[in-house]
Amino acid sequence: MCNAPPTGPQCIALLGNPNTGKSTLFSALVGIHQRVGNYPGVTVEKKTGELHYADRHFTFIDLPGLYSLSARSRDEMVAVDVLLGRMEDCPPVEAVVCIVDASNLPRNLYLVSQVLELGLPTVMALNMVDIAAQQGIRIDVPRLEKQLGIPVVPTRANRGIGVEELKAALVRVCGQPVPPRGSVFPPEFQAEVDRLAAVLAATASPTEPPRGARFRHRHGRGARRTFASVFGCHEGPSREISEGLPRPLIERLLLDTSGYLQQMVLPPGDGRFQRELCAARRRLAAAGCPVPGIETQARYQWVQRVLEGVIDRPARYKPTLTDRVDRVLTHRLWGTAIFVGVMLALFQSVFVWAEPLMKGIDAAMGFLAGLLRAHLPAGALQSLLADGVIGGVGGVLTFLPQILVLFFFLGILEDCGYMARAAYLMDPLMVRVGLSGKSFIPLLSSFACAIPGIMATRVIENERDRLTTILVAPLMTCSARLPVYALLIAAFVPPASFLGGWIKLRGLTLAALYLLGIAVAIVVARALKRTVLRGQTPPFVMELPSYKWPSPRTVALRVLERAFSFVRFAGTLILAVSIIVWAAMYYPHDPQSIDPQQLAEQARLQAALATLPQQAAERAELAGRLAEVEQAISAQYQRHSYLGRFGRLIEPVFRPLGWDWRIGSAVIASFPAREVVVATMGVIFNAGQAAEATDPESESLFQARLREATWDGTDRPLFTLPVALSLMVFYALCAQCAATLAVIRQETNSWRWPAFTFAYMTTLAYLGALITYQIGTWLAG
Amino acid sequence: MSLSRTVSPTMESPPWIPIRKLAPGQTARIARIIGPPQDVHRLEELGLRRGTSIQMFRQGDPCILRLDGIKVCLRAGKHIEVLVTPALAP
Repeated sequence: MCNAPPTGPQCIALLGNPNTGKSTLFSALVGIHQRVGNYPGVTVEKKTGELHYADRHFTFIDLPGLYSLSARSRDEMVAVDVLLGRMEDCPPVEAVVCIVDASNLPRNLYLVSQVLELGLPTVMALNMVDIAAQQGIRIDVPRLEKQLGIPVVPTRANRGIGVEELKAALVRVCGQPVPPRGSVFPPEFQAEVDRLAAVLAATASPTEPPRGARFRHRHGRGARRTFASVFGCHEGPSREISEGLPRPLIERLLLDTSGYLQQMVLPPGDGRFQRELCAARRRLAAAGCPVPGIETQARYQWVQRVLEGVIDRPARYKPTLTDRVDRVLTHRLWGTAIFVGVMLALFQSVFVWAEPLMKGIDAAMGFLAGLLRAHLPAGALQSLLADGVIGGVGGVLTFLPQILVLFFFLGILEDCGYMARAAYLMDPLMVRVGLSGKSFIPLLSSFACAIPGIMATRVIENERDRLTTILVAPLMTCSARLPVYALLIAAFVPPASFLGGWIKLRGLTLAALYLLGIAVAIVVARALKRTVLRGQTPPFVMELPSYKWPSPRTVALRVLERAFSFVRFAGTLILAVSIIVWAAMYYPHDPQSIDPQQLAEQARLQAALATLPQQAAERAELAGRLAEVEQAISAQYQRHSYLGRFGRLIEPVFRPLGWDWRIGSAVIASFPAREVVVATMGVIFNAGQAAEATDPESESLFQARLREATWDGTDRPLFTLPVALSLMVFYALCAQCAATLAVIRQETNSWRWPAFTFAYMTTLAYLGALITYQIGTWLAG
Repeated sequence: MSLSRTVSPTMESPPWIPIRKLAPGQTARIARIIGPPQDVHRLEELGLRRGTSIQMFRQGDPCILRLDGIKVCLRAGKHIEVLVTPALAP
């Protein structure tokens, strides 16, 4: 049989149970030549990689870890679609590498039995043979090869052992025809599948294939097998396959009683097929082959036959080091205590390591902005670049240190196997909210920053749980809200204390704001799971893998991949939003709208400074006054900008909250990033730049200016305690963070959910601020 | 923890008990899983099926079981009942 290397890359799918070392094997095969993207319409990440070997060109697709091909959600359908060549912009798969954990062959072979039915050339990588050997498990590989009928390559992916043999085996099987296999199912089942196939073929229109059949037949390839021979794997009366759906898919349709597959694969309104399905299932139940139980029964019987004489394991299970460690780490009391310690260490490291990096980035951005201001003439371009672009880019880059540090530590915890134990410990707590233990760490991470927290929800397999977690993560009080709280609390909450100085009112206010976020998140999560994201809760089963030393390469690759995808995707959105907001705050920038006296004063001071010698004593005083005048002028420009005008226009909307147009505009302007509100208020209220300054003098100046502010044209103070509280409550509940919404878009692959998040959080924030202000004023007055 | 075992002389095998009643360290064989078919199917695919031998590692909800040499954490939920036959040896 001609085995000439074909033109173009051959696509190989990599498939296996979770925790089998699949990612490690993938990296061992393709090295650094890997890319991460998204499948269209789903939230699963698409990992591909290239390999050139023995003048062959392979493209590997690392499919998500699965226990079975019985897909019940869009994400699970991805593997099925890719393997059957139904995935858009994915080349048809030519061969499959099944990676299997040697310590747990029976369950792993369940998936292999499903894969073998697809009729594709398959190679099995028997991974982690060393760990199996430690438990006293010995596997007769030649016998297994013979019973399975496919090459079996023992590997230790983390050491790169067996990888070359795996590549050689792939070269051998790729392009070769696959001998047909007997089905694992009893004849009654196969007969029903034949019947359904006939029904489908009859109902398929002659010119247009049904929605399900999106096969792309490749052209111009020498050793290409025809579609029929690929799927003609059933020894029975009808070898002819309907042009519509492949046989494995028809089998799955018969087995999937939840109806999910049907709606994904068949055109709607196919009432006849539905009736045929129900009739077929009834007949099968009567014949003693009830669906879906017949699948596990048949497959595990096959597994037993295949494994006969293959595995030699000791009669009694030998407790391993992992078990001894688990005695402590899963202990309700000690395990939880250790978990709390680990989480504290995690947060501590984020602050210790990320803070200096963020300050460094801030300083660098400030330096660049200063350079631009010095070298470019004052005007729109200078402002666009210095404020809009640098502000936007700086805003994006500032998130990077937190993402890097957090994912570094989370990656280590995940790779060594501790995360599963953490999820176990937190599960009883999360169940009360309607989620599972896997949601805890993403939500906890959101207290530092919701962006890595939301990105961390990828570990949650249950789609509804994952979406709920993503939607409530922004309610966790993130570090960006702290500057707002710090400023307003210091300015307006009296420094009272109770219990002889032990409990400070200011600290209590801060704690109350944190608790508010958590309380609302609990309510929202419960509500979501009962309404929009309602559905049956499947049983929660999670494997606790053996502990192992985390691989620096895996962790590093994961961290970098996350960081890059954030910058590339969310970064561009944040930059766009920053520029739009900048434009709204800058234009129309008409000097005629400014008080001409102030402009004259500015010109006079500038001229005076220009003529004074460097060492003159008056220089500092003049510079100070010039800065004041320029601030006043900036405030006026803002007032007349589009944003300012808009703010004044919708001031009635803010008044029930106790805000005037200046606070309202500042809040709107903070959409790119929450902390911007402080800087914007600094400009609007002539309060200076106390936001970033650490010297207490300018801080107190800021606070003093806020306290002095009055409603336009009156003597009524603008900022009272209820107003400050209502602003803080608004910030606790609002979604004024384009970065978070951008990441939600990225992780859910749709605009619906970020829009929903913005809508519900803004509504809650508005109501919360309203209630706070009204009740506060009523109590005070 | 003591099991309430009433071994009737007419029954041929020990009675089934819910999995949550297994004591830590006790081994058992899964006898039946009752619940919605798709959820039961899900558990079976993961290896929790009739005849599989398990050992309770840590009780509770979720509990930790040893299953075929690996450990899994299981919270079956209120719609599923996993019935097991405890091994007679202590």
